Amino acid sequence: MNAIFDMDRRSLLRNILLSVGSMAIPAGCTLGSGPGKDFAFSTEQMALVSAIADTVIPKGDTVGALDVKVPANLETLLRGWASADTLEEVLAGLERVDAASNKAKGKDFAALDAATRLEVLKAHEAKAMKDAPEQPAAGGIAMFRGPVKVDAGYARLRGLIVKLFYLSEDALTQELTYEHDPGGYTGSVPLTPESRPEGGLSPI
Amino acid sequence: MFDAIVIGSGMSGGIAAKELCERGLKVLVLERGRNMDPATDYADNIMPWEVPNANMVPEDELEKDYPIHRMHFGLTEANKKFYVKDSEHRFTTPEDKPFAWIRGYHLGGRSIMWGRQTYRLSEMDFEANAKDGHGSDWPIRYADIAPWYDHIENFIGVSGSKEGLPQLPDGDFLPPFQMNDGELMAKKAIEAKFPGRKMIIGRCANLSQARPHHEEMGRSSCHARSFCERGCSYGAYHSSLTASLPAAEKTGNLTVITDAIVEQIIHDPKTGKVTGVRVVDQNNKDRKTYEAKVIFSCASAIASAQILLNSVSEAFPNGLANSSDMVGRNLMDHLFALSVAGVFTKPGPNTIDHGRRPTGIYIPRFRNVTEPGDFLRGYGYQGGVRRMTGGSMAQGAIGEELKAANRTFGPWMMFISGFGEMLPNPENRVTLGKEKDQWGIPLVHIDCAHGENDLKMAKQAVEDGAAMIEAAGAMVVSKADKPGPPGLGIHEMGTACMGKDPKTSVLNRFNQAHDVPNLFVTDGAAMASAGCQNPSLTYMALSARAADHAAQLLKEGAL
Repeated sequence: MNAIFDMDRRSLLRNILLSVGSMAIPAGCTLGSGPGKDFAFSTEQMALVSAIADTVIPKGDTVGALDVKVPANLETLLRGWASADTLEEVLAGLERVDAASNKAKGKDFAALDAATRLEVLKAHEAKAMKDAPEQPAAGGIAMFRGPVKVDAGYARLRGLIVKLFYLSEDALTQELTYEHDPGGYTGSVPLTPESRPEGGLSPI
Repeated sequence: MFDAIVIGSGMSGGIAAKELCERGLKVLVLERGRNMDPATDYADNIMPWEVPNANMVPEDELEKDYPIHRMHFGLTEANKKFYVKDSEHRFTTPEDKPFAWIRGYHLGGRSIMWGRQTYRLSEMDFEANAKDGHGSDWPIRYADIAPWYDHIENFIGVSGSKEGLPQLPDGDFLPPFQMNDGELMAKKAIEAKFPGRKMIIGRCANLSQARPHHEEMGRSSCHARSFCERGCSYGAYHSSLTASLPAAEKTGNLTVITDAIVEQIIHDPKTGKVTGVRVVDQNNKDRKTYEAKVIFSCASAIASAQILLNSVSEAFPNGLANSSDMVGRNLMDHLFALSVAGVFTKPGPNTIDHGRRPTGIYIPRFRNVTEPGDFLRGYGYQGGVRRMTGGSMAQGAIGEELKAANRTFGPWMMFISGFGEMLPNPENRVTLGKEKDQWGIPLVHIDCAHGENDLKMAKQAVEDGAAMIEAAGAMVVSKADKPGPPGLGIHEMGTACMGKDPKTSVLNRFNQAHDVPNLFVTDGAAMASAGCQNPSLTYMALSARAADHAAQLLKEGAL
């Protein structure tokens, strides 16, 4: 709990509303024509995406990203939703993970073992996921967008992986809780060690 | 020939139709948009993992089709069908004065996607224009509309708590939704630090507990799913589609024609009355005329102004019912997106709530009520307090740590957003451009900007919000630096205002056009001032009251 207050105030400022809802509208992103129905990861890209997804959200006592088919779902999502610019940004972010892996360990990321992948990605994220020095105006609608990160492409990729995981049926029943129809509203329920936050598509 | 034509099937039109039908009139409702059927069109039974694109509207679509609507937080993949495509429904503004015109063109209108916050205007609000000289003095006072507020609240179902606040009159309420423990904690601290200020549960048009007459209509109590903006198959929140129109239908007096865009209201100079409307079919562009003894324009504020301005004749060269030149003028919205957020620095109660409550909390106006302000009028706040979870808790975490962090409940956090009263300003106005839309109707030109009082108020609203969040025990982490563009509050109003003087207003005390006795305007256009309260309840109350009056006049042979 105290870790929240260890974050520098500016980061906290930017990150707080991520718990209220997730708006993937990028600040300052220019949009071109869509990638169309034809986009697919190459074999190498799919292996890399899978390795990243598995590292960010591994299988442990509960399901991980690969169990709920995040890489395939990400491909479908990018095909159906992303603009050409976003796709380019995400693929560039993807490539930078391999660049970091090769620089640190002389191998592509997907070729590393799980423990090394975690080490490499942690180091990569320590730089890539820092808040960018230039940020859009604070507050108002922009408050819900989340901060712009140093490696916007990687941040976007990673954000989508996490989002897709936590929207899966397995994650919503095992990691979090989800009740499509709560039946009614109660203001106060004591928390127990078994309690889990609610997931789903929260309206603002 | 019908007894009455109602233009628009949304929040006001639905009620006008119901009230006129229930008084024995044969009513034709003309809706410009397509038919909407809850059984097939509502999107509330889709599971989160089934919603396409993780509920994100494709980016190219947002850019091409929704450049304005993308500013509205409520637009998602699941409910985009309820919002108009800006690419298909253009309007113009001066380059330096953006306006966010957020619309839904379909049976039921924006009453399907509205935020359901439901508040009465108070005597202070009805007196405001007379007291400070801005805008047209309302030709009614609270006592005139109070019985109609009762009537509408009972019909639609409004949950809320009685608070005895003069600036926010109590109503006929269903049981209030509970506040969670974070909100109770914040309420206690804020009210102690600022005596006279109150934090209450939001009053909302959700059936916390349906009354028998709601259930007889097929509506049931709210299940706290918060899928309202996707349409509710339980009918648990008020919408024209699942309450007003069915009630009208039940009388046997209702005819509804969709896909019918009203282009002009037809005026007969010999009688001085309107005789009917000319309509363009939105699909095949055929034109047709419908006739009636009385016409209610409930097309929404800007659209009603557009219709009146486009109904030019020898008798009305400036637009129908516009001898005052006030049609299109005094456009107002609520100051919006004046948001502040904070994190509680001490652990609060270790509880959580259960269910997704369809309303937040509300802080009624205190500026120029119990506390002075360095500006005219005032603002209220909507918002909430909740536990931080999810993404915020997992910042910097990866792997098992990330999964573990996402399972935890963090500190309480609070966010509130001010809704401020814009002053009526005749220079904020809607006019018709030279360019025409695909149906041959002139595009609307919206020229509207926040004035000095508005901006002063906006700044103070954020400061006050921050002070209350700190008083609650939280550390402010985000503050808006300016309001959103006009229009984004989705409370546009004022463009055919009520008033006592036909030289400075369009409508009399019964929403009847000063210039045309059988023409009534009961949507947001009628509002002489904006108050800071969400306006839909007032639109509905005015619609019911005007319908009652119109029916009476018809019965007496006066129209």
